[in-house]
Amino acid sequence: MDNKRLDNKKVVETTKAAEREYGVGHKLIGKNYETADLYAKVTGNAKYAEDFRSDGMLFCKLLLSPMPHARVKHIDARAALAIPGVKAILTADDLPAPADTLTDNGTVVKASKWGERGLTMEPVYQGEPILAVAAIDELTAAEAIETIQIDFEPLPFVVDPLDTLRPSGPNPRTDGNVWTRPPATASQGPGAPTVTELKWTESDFAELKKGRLPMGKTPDEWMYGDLDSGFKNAALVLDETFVTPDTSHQTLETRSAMAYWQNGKVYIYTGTQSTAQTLPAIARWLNIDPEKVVFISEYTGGGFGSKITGGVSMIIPALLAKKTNAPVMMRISREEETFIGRARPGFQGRMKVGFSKEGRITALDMFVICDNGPYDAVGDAPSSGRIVSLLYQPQAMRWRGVTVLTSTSASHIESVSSMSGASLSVTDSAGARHAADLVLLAVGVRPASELAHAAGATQGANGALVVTRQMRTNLPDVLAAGDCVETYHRLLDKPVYISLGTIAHKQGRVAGENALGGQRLFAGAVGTQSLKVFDLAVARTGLLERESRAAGFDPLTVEAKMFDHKAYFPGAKRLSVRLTGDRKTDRLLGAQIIGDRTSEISKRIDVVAAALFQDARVDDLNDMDLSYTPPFSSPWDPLQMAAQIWMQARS
Amino acid sequence: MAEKASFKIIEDLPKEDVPKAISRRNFIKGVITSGVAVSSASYLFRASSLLQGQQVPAGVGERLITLNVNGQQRRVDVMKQETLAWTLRYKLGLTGTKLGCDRAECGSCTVLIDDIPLYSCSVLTHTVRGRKVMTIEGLARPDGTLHPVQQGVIDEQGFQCAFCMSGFIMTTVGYLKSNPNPTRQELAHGVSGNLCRCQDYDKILTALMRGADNTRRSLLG
Repeated sequence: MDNKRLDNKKVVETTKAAEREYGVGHKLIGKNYETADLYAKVTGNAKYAEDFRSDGMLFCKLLLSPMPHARVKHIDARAALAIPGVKAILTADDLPAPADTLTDNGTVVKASKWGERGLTMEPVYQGEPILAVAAIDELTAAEAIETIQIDFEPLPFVVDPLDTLRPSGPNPRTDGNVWTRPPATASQGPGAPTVTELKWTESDFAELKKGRLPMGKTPDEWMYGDLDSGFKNAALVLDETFVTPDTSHQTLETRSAMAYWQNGKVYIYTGTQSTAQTLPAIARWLNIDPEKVVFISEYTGGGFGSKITGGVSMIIPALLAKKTNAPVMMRISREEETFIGRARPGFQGRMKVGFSKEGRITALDMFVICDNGPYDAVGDAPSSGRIVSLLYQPQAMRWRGVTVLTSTSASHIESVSSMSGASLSVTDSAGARHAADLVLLAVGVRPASELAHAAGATQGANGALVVTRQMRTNLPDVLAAGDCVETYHRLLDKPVYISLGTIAHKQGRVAGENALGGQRLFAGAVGTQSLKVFDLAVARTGLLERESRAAGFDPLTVEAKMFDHKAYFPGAKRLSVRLTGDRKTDRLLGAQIIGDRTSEISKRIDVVAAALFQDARVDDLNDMDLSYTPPFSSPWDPLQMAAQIWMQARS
Repeated sequence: MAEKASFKIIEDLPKEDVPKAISRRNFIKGVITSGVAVSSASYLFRASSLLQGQQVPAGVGERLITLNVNGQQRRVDVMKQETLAWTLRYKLGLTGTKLGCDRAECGSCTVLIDDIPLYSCSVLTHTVRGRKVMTIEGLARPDGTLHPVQQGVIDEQGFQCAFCMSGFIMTTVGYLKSNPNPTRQELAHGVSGNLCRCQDYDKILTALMRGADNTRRSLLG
C-alpha cells in the first residue's frame, strides 16, 4: 500500500477562482483532493473483516434455530467433538453474564433479562444462533454442526403483530408481547422497559372484517390542538389503512468477524459504522473493561444503520478464541446474514386526515403498530409520529402507537398461519388483509428459459430448452436441467415438457456430474406422479389412452374397482385402477390409480413405473412377486387383478 | 433435511477422487444453497490437508495445477469442486476479489478470464487452466501507475463502501475491450450484472465513464 499517498491526503492543484469563492484556509472545499481510502480500495488492498488472516487461525460455524420459538431441551454434541479437527463448542452456557450499559450521556441502563446475548437456549426467531463450533477449517466445523442432535420443544410464535394482539393470541416471548416502561415518579425517572402482555378485544377486531386496521388500546399516545373541531371543519376527511414493509439492510459485506486474545486483551476485526459505539458494546457483551478491547475496523462494506454498534454475534469468535487459545474467524454467509443481519421494522397503520378546501391539514389522527422482532424495543413507532408532525404541520394531531414483539428477525416475508386458529390471513397487493379458511392457488408452469434463450440456446416443447440426454444445451459448456428443459420420455422416445421435482433432481445430478467432466446419460422419464387431495391419493405413470393412441400405439384400457387389502381384515378401502396396454404387443403403457391416502396408492403406482422402466408386458405385471399380508394387500395385488382383467379383455 | 440420505451416495465418483470427508452433498449444497436452516454449509473452505496433521496420500482431494493469474504462473493445490473465488482469496491471498453472495447474483467476485468478465464464485478453478485470469490486483503497473479505469474512480470519487468496487472495475475493463467508446446507457447495461447496495449507481457510472475516457486517452497517447 502506498502509505505516503494515504497519509498526506494529497491536495491536488487548486485554482485561484476556487480560492476566491471559498476563501483561504479551507483545505478541501472547492479543491480537488483524493480521499484517504480510495487508492487502497481501487487496488484491492483494502482489508475488510474477512480479508484478515492470523497464524493458526481456526474457523467457526453457527447452528441456527430451525424454529421461530422453541426451548432447547437437550444438546448432544458427542459425535461432533469426536471429529478430528473440531476444537471447541460454544453454547449459551459459555456466555458472560449480561452487563449494565453506560450510555453516551452518562446514564446507566440496567442489564435486561430479555436482551439478546448472541447464543440462546430459547431461540425467539428462526435462524437465531444456538451454538457455534470452532474447527481447523470451515468444512470440518460445518460437518460437526450436522452431527449435533438437538431436542427442541416448540413454543408459540407470532409472525403478524395483529395475531398476538387478539384476545387469545399467542405470545412471542414467554413473558408477553409488548415492551412497556413503568411511568416516572417524582423521585425517579422512568423505570426500565419490561415485557408485558397486551390483548385487544373482539370488538376491536371487528374493524378487520371491514378491511380496516383495528385500533385497540396502545401504551403510547400524545395529542395537540383540537382534533374534533379540526375534523368537523374539514372539507374532506380520509381514513385509510396502510402497510409498510420490513426492509432488510443486506450490506454487501456480511457481519463476518475475526478475533484473538493477546496479553489479556481481545482483538476483534469486523466492520462498523461507529468505532466509538462498537467498542463499548463489545466490552458490555463480553462483560470486560473497555480498556481490554482492541477493535480493528479498517474498511466496512456497508452498514445502513445495521452496524452502528454491530451485532452481538461478533463476540462468538472472541469467546471461541479464548476457549481454544487461537484466533477464530467467523465468516457469515448471505443466508446467515438474512437471519442475523436485522432489518428496519415495518408498520401496519391507519391515518385519518382532515383537509381544508385549500389543502391545509386541519386534523390528523395517526395509529401505528410496529413489528419489533423479538428483542430490544426499536424506536420507529414514536419516530413516525414526530416525523409526520414535522413534515405535514397539521393544525391538530393525535398519535397512538404500539411496538409489538414478534418471532421474526424483522427481516422475513413469511406466510405462516397463526398457531391460534385454523384460519388463514391473506394480504392483498393493496396491503389489506382477508381472513380465509382455505386459499386455492391456480397456477400453470412455464419454463423460465428466457435467459438461456437470449444467450442463444434453442427452445423446444412449451418453450423449454432443448438438451441432449447428457443435459447439454446447444451452447458450449452450458448445461441445463429441471423445469426449464425438455425431458426425454422413455415410452415416447422423444423429448416432452414435464416439470416435476423428481425429474429435476435426476437431471440436475446428471448435469452436475457432466459439468465436472462426466459422460452420464439421463435415463428418461415415464411420467410418474402422485398427488394428495384431502384424504384421497391420485397417482399416474406412463401414457393415458389418448396419449398412447397419439403416439401410434393400439391401446386397450381396462378399469377396475377393488379393495386395497383383504376385505375380512378391518379398514379395507376401495381403490380404482385404470390400466393401459398395447393390443398388438402386450406392452404395458400406463396406469392411473385413485383411492384413500392410506391405501399405498403412490407405492402401487411405483410398481407400475418400475415395470414401465423395464419395458414390461402387461402379463409381466401379473407374474411379479409382490408382497402380501392381509392388512396390506391380497394374494393377487389389485394391480395384478387389473392385469388379469386386461388380458381377458384382450383375448 | 429429508433429502440428506439421498446425497450421501458417492459411488459414481471414482474412489481416489473423493477427498476425505467431503461428500458430494456438501459440494452440491455449497453451489446451490439448499435453504435448510440448520445447515450452514453453503459457504465453506477446507484448510490444506497438511494442516490437519493427518496422513493423506498425495493426489487425494487436492491436485496441484498451474494457473496464469495476473501474468504470473501460480502453482496451487485445488480441490475438484473448488471455485475460482475460493482459490484466489484463500489459496493465493488475492483478497481484492470479494464474495458478496457466493451465488452469482451480486457480481462482487467478477474477474477477467481471457478478457471476459465472469463471476469467479461460479467458475470451477480447474476449468481455467491454460487461460489468463486477471484480478483487481493485476490492473496497476508494477511501478504503481493505476489502470485508467482505476484512475477514473479516484478522479470522480466513485463508490462509497466499495465492497462491490473491484467487481465493477473488472467488469468495466472487460466491457471496454469490446466497446471502447460506450454511451452512459451502454455502459450501464455493461455493468448491469454488478450490484451496489449503497445505491451509488449514478456516481459509479460517472466514475466508470471517466475511466472509459481515460482508457481511450491512454491508448491514443
